[in-house]
Amino acid sequence: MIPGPGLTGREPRVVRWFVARRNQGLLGWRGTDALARGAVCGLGLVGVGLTLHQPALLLLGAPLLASAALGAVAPGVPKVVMQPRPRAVEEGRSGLLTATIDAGARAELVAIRLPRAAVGVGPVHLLPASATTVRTRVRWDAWGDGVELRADHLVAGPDGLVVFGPVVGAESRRMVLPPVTFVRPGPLPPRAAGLVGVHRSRRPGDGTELRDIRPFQAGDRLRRVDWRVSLRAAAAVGGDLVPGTLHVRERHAETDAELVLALDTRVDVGADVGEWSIEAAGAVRAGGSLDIGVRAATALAATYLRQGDRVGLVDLGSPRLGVLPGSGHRQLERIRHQLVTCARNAGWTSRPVLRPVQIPHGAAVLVLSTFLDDAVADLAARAARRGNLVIGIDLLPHPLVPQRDTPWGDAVLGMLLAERRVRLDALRTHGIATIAWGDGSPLAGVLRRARRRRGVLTG
Amino acid sequence: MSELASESFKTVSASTIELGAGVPAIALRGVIGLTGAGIILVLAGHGIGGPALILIGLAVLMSMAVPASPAPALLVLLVAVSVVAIGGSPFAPHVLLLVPLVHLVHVSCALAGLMPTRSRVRLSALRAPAIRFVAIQAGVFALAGLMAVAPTGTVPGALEFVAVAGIAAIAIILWRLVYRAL
Repeated sequence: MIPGPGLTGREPRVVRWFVARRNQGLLGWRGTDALARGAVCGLGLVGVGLTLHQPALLLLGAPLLASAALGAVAPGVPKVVMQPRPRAVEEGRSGLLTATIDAGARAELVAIRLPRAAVGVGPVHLLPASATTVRTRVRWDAWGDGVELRADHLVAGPDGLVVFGPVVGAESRRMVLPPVTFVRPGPLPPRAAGLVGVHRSRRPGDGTELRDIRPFQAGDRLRRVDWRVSLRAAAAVGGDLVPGTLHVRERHAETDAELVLALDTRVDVGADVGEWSIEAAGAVRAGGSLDIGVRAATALAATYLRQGDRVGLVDLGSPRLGVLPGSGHRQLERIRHQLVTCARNAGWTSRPVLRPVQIPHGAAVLVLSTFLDDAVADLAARAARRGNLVIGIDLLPHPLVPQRDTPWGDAVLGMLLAERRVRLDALRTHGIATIAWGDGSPLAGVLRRARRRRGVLTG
Repeated sequence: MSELASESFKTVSASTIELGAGVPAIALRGVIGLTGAGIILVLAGHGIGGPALILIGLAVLMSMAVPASPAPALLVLLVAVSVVAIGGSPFAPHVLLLVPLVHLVHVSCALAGLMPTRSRVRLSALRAPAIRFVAIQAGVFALAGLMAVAPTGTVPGALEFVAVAGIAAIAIILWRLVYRAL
């Protein structure tokens, strides 16, 4: 005999019998307090009423007795099945969840936990058991990862006198991906090993922008001959196209670029300083620094991947969660999924980590952080010292609201902003510009200036 | 509220339901409270004193707070004792008023005991219990009518024995029903 739940098989037979009865009651159909009440009170009142010649008691007990007699039925084994749904969805969209219920022939009520409108497992709904399909529309207004569905259910017979359950439903998680937006792209340093792309390389190649006009050399293609310059050079030496007079147009190669998005997930702060020490209600604080950071990273990745660049992701708070640089639409999906995972694991460490191996040579690094501590500023400065173009994206919500329930609120905020100003000035001395996140216009300008300063144009 | 519920719970077909807001399940506890208040008013109007009413009031409050508990059974027993204490005709209006009220407390507690307080109820789910309630009450009132017109006087001992045997038979049948169901 296989021991049931709560049994080892070594108990005396009578204990096994009692436990099996109890488990049968818990696992299958069982009577509720109402069934016992109807049977005992009804039978008792009718019996006492007849015996003691009290018709009033008989009348009081008769409905309870009838209710118990009508309610003691076994409707069969109920089954609730949720239709399969996609694992990841887009923010701002909505979808239908469908539950198929087979409650049994004589079941009367079904109590099932289903989400409705808002994200979360939702409340329990009491429905008639005649409903075999229940549909609910769910709208995903906030990106993140969480339990969306846990169809706990209980099936009841007439008047709820016998019940099956409650059965805890299987948990089903849903990943709502951050929305894809595009920003104005700026020029990135071209990748040395790049072959195609939109960024002008220092090397000569098959791009569209003129690099130089030089005398023809063996191996040059004839279609590159600049006939106007060649004829002018020939005219200068007597009119014949002698060797040395033929000139060709040399163009810049166009390559892709590598961009590393270094997201600081250690802190998630909103505009109200008083709430910084309070944990966010959801996965992240809506409108907080991490929310801004994830949306900014998605927008930057989408923009630069669209123009053929290679984009990678580094989680400064949890280095194992990064994504190596890559290109294409699948890379964007990979980064969006990973951003949600990073947000779920936010606050893992107190010190940011950005190892040299995480940044390819020549890649531009965008450090997305609130810059509320020195560690992230040191890390950005070290990356710049290694020769990478580093730009800070400030994620701190603006304007900040001081804590109101303390007289020190304004002073604390003033100190905090002053320290941060010093930190950003120090970064500037290392050649790291810091911009607040917006529509990307400031970033495009900073990238253009950085490119001019680094002499890429003259390369 | 009912308009909101009927709008939000759309029935696409007979067996397909589109989930909506529904009615808060705490309304069922409100029904228990209102029914309990009705019982107290009826009993107070027929001479039941303060301590008994306090006890019944406590039972009503406990039934509202924990419907899946012995509190509703206690309430039923207290009402039965009160009816015996009041005495008088078994077909007096107060007795005939208490019969559906006690039954309503029983059914409301049975349904409220199934649901967490923050759950929602689709009103059509209550249609079958409501129909059954009315049918049972109709049967009980028909029985009351029969009892009212039946001749009064000394009941023969044999008939008494048959009645008690009938109760025992009902108990056995009910036991078998419950045993087969569970």
